[in-house]
Formats: sequence, C-alpha cells, structure tokens
Amino acid sequence: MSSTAGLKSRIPSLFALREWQLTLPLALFLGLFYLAPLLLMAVVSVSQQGVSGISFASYVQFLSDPTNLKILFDTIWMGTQVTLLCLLIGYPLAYVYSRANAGWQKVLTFLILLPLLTSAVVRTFAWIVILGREGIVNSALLGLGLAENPIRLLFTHQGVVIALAQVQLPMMVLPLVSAMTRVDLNLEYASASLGAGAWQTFRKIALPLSLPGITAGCLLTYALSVSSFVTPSIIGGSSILYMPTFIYQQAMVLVNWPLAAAVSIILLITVLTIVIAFNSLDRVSRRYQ
Amino acid sequence: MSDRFIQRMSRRTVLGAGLFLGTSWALKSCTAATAPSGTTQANSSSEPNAGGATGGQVVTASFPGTTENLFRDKLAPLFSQTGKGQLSVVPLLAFEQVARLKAAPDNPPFDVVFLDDGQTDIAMKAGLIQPFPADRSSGFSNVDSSFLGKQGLAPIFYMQGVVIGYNPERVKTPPKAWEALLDSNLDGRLGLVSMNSVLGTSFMVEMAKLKGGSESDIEPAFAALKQILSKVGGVAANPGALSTLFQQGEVDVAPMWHNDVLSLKAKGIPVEWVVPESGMIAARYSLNLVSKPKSGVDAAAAYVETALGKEAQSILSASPYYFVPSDKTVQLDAAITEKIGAKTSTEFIQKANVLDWATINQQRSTWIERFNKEVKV
Repeated sequence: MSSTAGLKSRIPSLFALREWQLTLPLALFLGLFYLAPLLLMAVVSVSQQGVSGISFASYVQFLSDPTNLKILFDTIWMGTQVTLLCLLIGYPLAYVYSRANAGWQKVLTFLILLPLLTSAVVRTFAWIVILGREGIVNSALLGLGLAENPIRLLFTHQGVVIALAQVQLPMMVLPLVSAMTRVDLNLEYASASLGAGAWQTFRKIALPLSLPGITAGCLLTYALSVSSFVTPSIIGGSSILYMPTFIYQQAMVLVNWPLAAAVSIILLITVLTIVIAFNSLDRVSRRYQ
Repeated sequence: MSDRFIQRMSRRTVLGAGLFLGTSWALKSCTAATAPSGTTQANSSSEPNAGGATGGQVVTASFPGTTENLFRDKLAPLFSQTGKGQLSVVPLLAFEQVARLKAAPDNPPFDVVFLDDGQTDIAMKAGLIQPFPADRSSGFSNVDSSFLGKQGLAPIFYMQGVVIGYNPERVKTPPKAWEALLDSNLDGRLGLVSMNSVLGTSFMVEMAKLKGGSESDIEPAFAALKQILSKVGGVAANPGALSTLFQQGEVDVAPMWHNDVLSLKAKGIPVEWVVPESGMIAARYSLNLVSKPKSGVDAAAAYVETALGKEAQSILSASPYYFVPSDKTVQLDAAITEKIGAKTSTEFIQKANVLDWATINQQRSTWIERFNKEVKV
C-alpha cells in the first residue's frame, strides 16, 4: 500500500516538466537540422578548393565585383518593393477584415488563404500567362487603346515584383489580421467621441496598435521574398539575377561551393540586419500597448 | 520489482533513453532512405566498383520533361518486365546530377546518371562513373561503333540536333543559317537559352566557329551577341522553358532541339524548323553506372541494357519523343527523315556537327558566368 502511494507520488514528479523543457524537442530538431548545416556552411565559406586553412577569398571575390554587388542590391531592392507592395495591398484588406461581421470574415479568410492552397510554381506559371506579350494585361491595354504595342512585363524586375507580391501577400495579411482583430474597438469609439476625426483616430489609435502586425508581416514577406527562387527564376528568366539564383548557379552549375556558401552567409547577414531593424521598430510599437 | 525499477528511473535516464532511441531511429531511417525497400544494400567491401546484390530498386537520374516522361512511362515498365528490379526516376539537369554525385561520392543519390558528352567527360575524370560491363550486354551489337563509350563507358543512349525553330505566322522570311539570327531585318523576336544548358553552349560555340572562333575561343560569339541583344525577346533558364516561351508567343525564332520543335508542332503550336546551312549541331547523351551504385552493378547494368535494347530504342524515335536512338537498325521517324534526310542514327551523325566537349569544358564555367553577367535583355 505504501509502495503504491510512493509510486503515485513519483510519477507526477517524473513527468512534471518545467515549461522551458517543452522546447527541448524543437531545440534538438533545430540544432540538428538547422544550426549544424548552417555552421557547416560557414566552415565551407572560409575554405578554398584545394587549399588547406581558413581563407576569406570567396567573400573578397564576391564583394569586390561590382556586378555581384549589383545582384545583392537588386535582391534587397526587390525584397523591399515586394514588402511595400504587399503592405499597401494587404493593410486595407486586413483593416476591412477586422471590422467585417462573422459571415464576411469567413469569406475573406477563404480568399486570403486560397492562394496558399496552390503551389507557388503553379501560381508563377499563371503569371507568365498574365504578364506575357499576349497575356491578359497586354490584351486589356491594347484592347482599351491604352497602349499601341505590348508592354514588356515578363523578364523584367517589375514583373518579378508583381508576381512575388501576389505569391507572398498571405504572409503579410495573416499577421496584420491577427494584430488588428485584437485591437479593442472601444478605443476608436472613445477617440471619435472625444472629437477626433476618422484620419486622426486611424493615425493615433488604429495604426500604432497594428504595428506589431505590420512588423511581423513585413519581416515574413521580406525574408521570403529575398530568398525565393522559383518565381524570380521563371518570371525573371536567365537575364535577371538575384541572390538565390546566383547561389544555385555557383553551387550546382559551377560547383564552386565555397563561393556559394559565402554568398549564402552574406544573404543571411543581410536578412538578419533587416530582422534586427524590424525588431527595433517592434519595440517602439510596444510603447503604445 | 516494477516499483523499484520505476523508482530508479530519473528524468535524466528517461531523456537519455529517449535521445538514444530517437537517434537510432533517425540513423536507421537515413539508411533505409538510401537503400530502398526490396533492395539488398550495396556491398561496401574493398572492391570499389563491386556494388551489391542485384534486384530491388534502381534509381536513375533523368532530365526533367520529355525525358522524364519517357523514363517513367516507357523504360520503367520495360525494366520491370525483365524481373531484375524496379525503376525510380529522379529528374535533374546534367550539371545538377554531377554536383550531387560530387557532394556524396561514397553515398550517391542515384545508381545511373544520364549525362551529355561534356558532363560525362567531367564525371569520368572525377571518378564518379564506372565502365559498363559490355560482356553482359547484347545491345552493343546494334550500336554504331562511333557511339560506343569512351574508356569502356556505356554507349550513347540517344541524340538530339540543334536546329533553328521559328513561328511561320510571324517570321515571314524563314532563316536559313545561324547568321540569319544576327540579321537586324529578321522579323521576329529571338529566344535564347542560358549557357548552363547544352543547347545554349552549343549555339554559342557554333556561332563562335562561324565567326572565326573555335571551341577554345568563344570571343566572337559574345561580340556577335552584343549586337543582337535588342532583338532578344527572352533568355530561358533551360530548353524546356524556351518551349514555353515559344508556346506563349514570347519569342518567334530560336535555336531549339529538333525534337522539341516536333513536340510543339504535334500539339498544334505554329512552329517550323530548318537545318542551318552549316549543318545542325548534335548532342549525345548516355546512361552510365555511378562508381558505387546502391542497387548493385548487375541491376544498374540490366537497366542500361534495357535502355539499349531494340524495344526501348524503337520507342525513342517515335512520337511524342522524336529522339535519335543510337541503335543503327532503328528507322528514324518520318518527320526527322523528311527534314534532315537521315533514316538512321549513322546517317544522322554524318550530317551533324559534334563539338569537342573536352576542350569546351576547360572554359565552360567562365563562359556561363560571363553569359549570365553580360546578357541583360
């Protein structure tokens, strides 16, 4: 009897994990399959084919070539443009969602999530049909008499930005919706009752309180855009190079793994810099909470 | 007894045991993934080329698109009928296959690679592929001697020719020679393919040769390319993407594979082709056994043997593939014969230019990088 009671008292203490211990499986998983390959990549990036010892030749090679720097700049610029475009389109949509009734919210949820149910490859090929010389955009422009000749959208930087914005839009809208639906509407009613106009209420209440959603959405969209491979490759063709395509070429076509690893690390540092910047913005937004 | 056992179990013991079990399971899964079910694991004995037992699953690399369909729809059932194994197809471009073999030479992701002459040369020099056991093959007798592999490698599996494809609805004056693509009066948008591909490199080298260059001197081709950049409608990442551009009306004229043109034509796309006056460029491809095939040499060789057999070779030439098989006894499709005037593979190769890929390989990486930087449409 006493031994059974002892057993019962030990079982809870055996399995009573502290909260932080619940993260152990994920930490182990990330350590094995994310951090370890990343460290390996960092090691490869400071190696040189056929030469022993540490060498930063690959970093120097990349950063000393103006063409390569242009590829890096184009990638950052493309990511920024896609993020801003997604924010411009996604913010009003999320705003409408947060104020819609339950029925409309269901419809909007379906519309927001619909693109995620289709592969990015399929959506990108659809953009070839839309942006092509004989595509929907050009047919409409020519049909309406707004252009005399088809405008060039495919194989352009602008084409990549447009297609990628559509592909990444749910990544912007979902955090925005999450942040906006948590805002207490009574704050806005109070603002209005105290004499603030619609614009002032939006600027001083709605916008600051939605900042966590904006930072999370921008972060997701930016990181996914600068690291995307399929859409820039298909819509941009072989004549527009971004960092992921450059890394692929160095690793798979030219089998120059040190340079590919160095460029990957440079891209990672670039993205991390933006993440830190957004986190600073997030800290500012918390002052309003 | 059981109570005492539980009392001795600390949290650390449970976590340690869990970690051990998890790691064992993960390692076992990794091994299982490289040795598919039904396959006897490759023999990792001191014999480097021995491989393992026969049977099981043979993993073959293939180019994406038409070739992948051919391997899946035709070669896999044919190989299955031999009772020597099942075929699993991994679609990858030639340079991707070589890169993956280089990344894991002792644990290759496939048993058989499918490479063009240039990449075969690279793989052979890097020791990634091994000679084909010709003494076990009956298909060799029908292969033209010029298609037999170098240094005992497997023979050529099929060939393709680079021709000029054009849209007859838009290009009113059909081009007759490669130089016509440089003509500013040519009424059509030019399509190109990146030099990553055999098609793209073949076109650039041929252009260089016509302008006084050679396999080792591509400078004239880059100079010529600068003059026509304004006419280039798009640079596709690979030949498959070029076909899509043709289909979408993005480009009207391009260096293309003869069989891609025929496939597009069969789908009702307005496209025609001409063999340039200087002759078409031929590209040759072979299936070769990797140095350490997991399925074993016998099973991998049996699959290559199936591909070289009469039935498979006959399928290659027919619609919808239109490849040129290496079996000299197989009659080429009428659509090929009509344009090229060749009835067999032997006649085909006599009418084509074969490039010196050993020389090209020495500078190809530099050319690819240069092409990617200079060709900004």
